[in-house]
Amino acid sequence: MLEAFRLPFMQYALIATSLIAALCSLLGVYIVLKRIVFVSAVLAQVSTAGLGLAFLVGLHPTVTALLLTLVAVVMFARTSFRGKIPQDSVLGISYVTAFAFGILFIARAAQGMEELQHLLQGNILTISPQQIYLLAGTAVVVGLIHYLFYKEFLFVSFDAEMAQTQGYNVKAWNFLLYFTVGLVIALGIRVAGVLLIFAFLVMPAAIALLLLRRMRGIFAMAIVIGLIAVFLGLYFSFDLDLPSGPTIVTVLFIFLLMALAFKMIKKMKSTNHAGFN
Amino acid sequence: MCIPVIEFKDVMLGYNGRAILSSLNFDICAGDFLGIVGPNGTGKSTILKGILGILEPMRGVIVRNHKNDTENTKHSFGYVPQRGQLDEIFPLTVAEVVMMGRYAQIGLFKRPSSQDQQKTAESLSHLGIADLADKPYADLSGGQKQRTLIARALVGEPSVLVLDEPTDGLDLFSQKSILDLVSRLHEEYKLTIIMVSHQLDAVATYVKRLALVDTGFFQIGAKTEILTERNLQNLYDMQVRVEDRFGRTLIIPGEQHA
Repeated sequence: MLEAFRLPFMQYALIATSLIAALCSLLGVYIVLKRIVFVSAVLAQVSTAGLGLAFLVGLHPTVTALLLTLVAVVMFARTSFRGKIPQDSVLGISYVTAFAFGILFIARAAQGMEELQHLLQGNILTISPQQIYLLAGTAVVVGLIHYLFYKEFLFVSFDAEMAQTQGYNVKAWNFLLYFTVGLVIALGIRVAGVLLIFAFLVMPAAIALLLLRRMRGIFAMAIVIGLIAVFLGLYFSFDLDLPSGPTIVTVLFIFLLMALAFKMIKKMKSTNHAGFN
Repeated sequence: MCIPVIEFKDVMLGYNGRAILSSLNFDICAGDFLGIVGPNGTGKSTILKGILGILEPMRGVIVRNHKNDTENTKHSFGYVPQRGQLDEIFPLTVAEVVMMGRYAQIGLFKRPSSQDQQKTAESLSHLGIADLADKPYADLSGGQKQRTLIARALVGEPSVLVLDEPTDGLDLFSQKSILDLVSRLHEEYKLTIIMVSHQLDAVATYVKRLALVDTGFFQIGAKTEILTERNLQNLYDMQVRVEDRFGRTLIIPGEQHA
């Protein structure tokens, strides 16, 4: 099984995707708990549109994607929307608009539709060492922020109003949390693509939340699930000659089904047990 | 003599430029037990947000920085939100929820110390829920959740306790148990209590002062001034009887005026 990972491009793919998986799975716990999955989907599309714009007008792709994503972060980090258009509609409009702009920019850019395919599905088999260094640096910064400010992020996510009464600047903390999400999406999207980024932001956290009931355990389990999915997904994609991104998502989906089955069996057992008592 | 904890000076409150309540002029004094009562959707929680500093007034001033007379420090507020506001998807234990009340004291870059753990344990024990410390918050009954949120507000050692609809959705026994507990905190620890409720009869027995809120209407005063039959009849446009029986204040609604 390890034969596949002796090839240098597979090693790069494994390292880069593992870094992205670990970061997204960590952030995904907040995304699932705060019920802002759609916000992360919008940020991923905005980031893609940023890359498209950069290709079209000849800007630095990662910097452009990052700047556009940060603009979206500022918009969505507000604690509530009280405009005439409901929040989910604003998100829906932002999503389709960013999606459409991304396609239009890339269609007119020199790279054309092949690049669009890469942005959607990822291009993890052509990763450079520089991209790995950048991702590793991001992992250190984001990991440190989340280690240092765990209790602040948890408090403002669970009870923003109470946090505000205790002197917390909820808008600033939300911005910092969303900033880390935007940073990881913008830097990871060119490597992993929208599909994989979005999957890592939702699925490992959802699986961990199904299986565990303690916050710290959930963070750890989400990261482990993300990493195992990367390893198995890359192996099967190499072995069966399948596209890597969708294969990793399929592995995650199988894990989700297994977690649901485990949960169901556990519930049935406890119901039977209660019935006998 | 009233030592003000909060002063409302010609305050207008609302959202998105739309006023909900205006010309609010009143003080809340140290040692007060104030009930803010009225139907749902009339602005009770809006007043509470003003008191807590979550909502800035559209006009006027809310003075919240009075010094605590006994300790020469500012008054600190313990807030008990409506239970339904908290998302139970969060996998937190009762102790973890209560510990959040210490976070402001713990400060940035620090983890809870053994002293914080001890304060949390004491608060849980004080509220009679020490045995629930490791249970998931989401698995508790309504009354147990309410006690947890009160424990969280108290663990920060506030001088003012602010409760938003603490008895909403509770059965009769739990309602009484929570209100008795709040009353005991007021008596024993001299906490200033501000409690919002839509159940006038439930809180009438316990509070010292009452603020009645209805659409565009606000009246505040001593309980004996507010809970007169004439005042309630004018306000609710129906026959109302107010009786003190079995140590409780009973408000008995009658026929609606034609």
